[in-house]
Amino acid sequence: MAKNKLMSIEEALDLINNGDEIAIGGMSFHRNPMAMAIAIARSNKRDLALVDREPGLAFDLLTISGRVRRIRAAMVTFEHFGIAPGFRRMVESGEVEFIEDVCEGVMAGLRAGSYGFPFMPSAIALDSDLVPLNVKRGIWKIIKDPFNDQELIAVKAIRPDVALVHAHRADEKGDIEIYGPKYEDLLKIQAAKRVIVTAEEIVSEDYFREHPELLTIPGFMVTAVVHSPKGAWPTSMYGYYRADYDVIKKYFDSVKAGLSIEKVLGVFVHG
Amino acid sequence: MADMDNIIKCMAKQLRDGDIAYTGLTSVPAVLAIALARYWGLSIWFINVAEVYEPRDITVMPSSGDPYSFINGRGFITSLDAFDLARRGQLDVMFFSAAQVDRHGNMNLSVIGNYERPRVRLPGGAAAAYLYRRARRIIMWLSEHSRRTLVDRVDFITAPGPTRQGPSLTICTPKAMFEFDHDAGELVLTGLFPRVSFDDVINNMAFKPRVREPLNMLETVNTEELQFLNKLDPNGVRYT
Repeated sequence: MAKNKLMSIEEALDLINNGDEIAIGGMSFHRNPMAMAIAIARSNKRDLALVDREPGLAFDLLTISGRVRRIRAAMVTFEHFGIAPGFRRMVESGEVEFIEDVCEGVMAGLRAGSYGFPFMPSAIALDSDLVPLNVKRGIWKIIKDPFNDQELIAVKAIRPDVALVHAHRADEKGDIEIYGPKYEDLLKIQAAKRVIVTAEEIVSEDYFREHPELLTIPGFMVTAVVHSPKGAWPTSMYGYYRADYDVIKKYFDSVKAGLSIEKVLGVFVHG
Repeated sequence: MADMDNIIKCMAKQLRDGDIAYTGLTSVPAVLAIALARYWGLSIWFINVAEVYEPRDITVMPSSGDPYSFINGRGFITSLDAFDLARRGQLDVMFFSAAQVDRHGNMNLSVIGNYERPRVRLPGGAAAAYLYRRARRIIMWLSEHSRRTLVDRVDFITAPGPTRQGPSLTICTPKAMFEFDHDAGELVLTGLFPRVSFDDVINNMAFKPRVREPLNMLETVNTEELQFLNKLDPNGVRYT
C-alpha cells in the first residue's frame, strides 16, 4: 500500500534544505503557494534560489524574506500596482542576484527538466542583450541546428530541488487535481526532485475513482501533501476564491515603505 | 475621454477579422483593445495569460492575468500552448508595452541606466525577447509620448526590433502612430491624433523619425465606445 503523504506544514518545511532551488507554482496574483511561502519566510532556511516564469506575490515575499540569495524569472511584476516592490528593492541594492530570463527560456528549461533532456532548443532572439549575459552565466548557449546549421539558443535543463504548488484537491496518496489555469506547474512538478503540494481540500481516493478525468498529477510524482484551506490567499484560487487586491496593495505599500519582514508578514495575518 | 482610450482604439484598429491574438500580464489596454474590436463586430480568437479561452465577457481587474477577469470561457489554453503556436508562426497578434523604444524598434523592459547598477530595475521583458520576433504582428502601446520613452538608443535591448522578414510593428502613443518600415529598418510616423501638431510629436521624442506623407488623422473614441470601455473597466484601471 502506498505511503500516506499527508503531513503538517512544519514537516513539509523539513523537506527543504539550505541552498535549494525552488520552483514556485501559480502566476502573478493567482494560485500562489502562499501558505508555504509564508512558512519559509518565517523559517531559518538560508541561501535559497527561486525560479518561475512570471511570478508575483509569493515570489516577491520570499525575495525580501532574507531566506533567498538568487532568483530567476522572465518578469516580476505587480501589474497595475507597479514593479514588484521586494524584487526591485533587493535587486537594486544587490542583496539578491537576479537572473533575468525570458518566458521562452524558463519554459524551455523546465521542459528539458521535465522531459529528461539536458537542454532544449528555443526561439529566443539571438540579438537580445540578454543573450551574452545568460551565456556567461552558463544557462544558455548558442548552438547550431544540426540539420541546417542555423544558430539558435539552447537552454540548459532546469531541475529544481523542490516544486511548491497549491492545488484544489489531493488525496493522501498524493493524487492531485488542479482546476483551470495550470501555467507551467505540471512541468515544475515533473522537473523537480521533491514536490510539496498544498491543497484546499483533502479528498478520499474514491473521489478520483469516481472522477478519474479530474486527476492532474499522479501520487507517485508528489512527495508531500499539506492540507491548506485558503492556502493561496490573498492570491486567487480559481473556482474557490478571488484575489484580495486590498491585501495585495497593503503588502505592496508596506514593502515600498521599507517595513521589516516581520511587519510585512503581519499583512497576512487573517483578520 | 482620456489619452488611453484613444490609444486603445488605435490598437483595436490594427486587429483584423479572424486574428488569433494573445494578451499578457500588465496588459489591460490590450485586453480592452480586443474587447473593443469584438464590440465593432470583428471575430477574434482570444487567448491570454490567464489561460481562459474565448471569454464571452470581460471585467477588468488590477491583474490582466486574473482568471476571474475572463468570464464564460470555452475552456483553458495554457501559455505553453499559446507560445508553441507563435513558434510555429501561427500567432497573428501579440501586444507589448515598453519603458523605452528606439528608432530601430528595439525595446527595453529591463533597466534604466547601467545593467549591473541600474537607476531603475524594471520588471523584465517576459516573453518579449522571443514573441516580439515570433508573432506575425506586434501591436505596441506607450502610455507616454516623450523623450524618455521614444529614445535614440534603448539603455538595454531586452527585445530587438523587427528584421526585414518581420514581424510587422505598430506603436500607438497618446499623440501619434508609428509603423516599422522593413526596408529602412526604422520606425515611420504614419498618423497623428486630432489637435496634435507635427511639431508636438517630433519635439517630444529623442530621435527624428521618418515620416510617411500624407499623415493619417487617427480616430478618437466616440461616446458609445467610451461607454463600452467604462462598462468593462468602471474603476479606470486602464488609466493608471
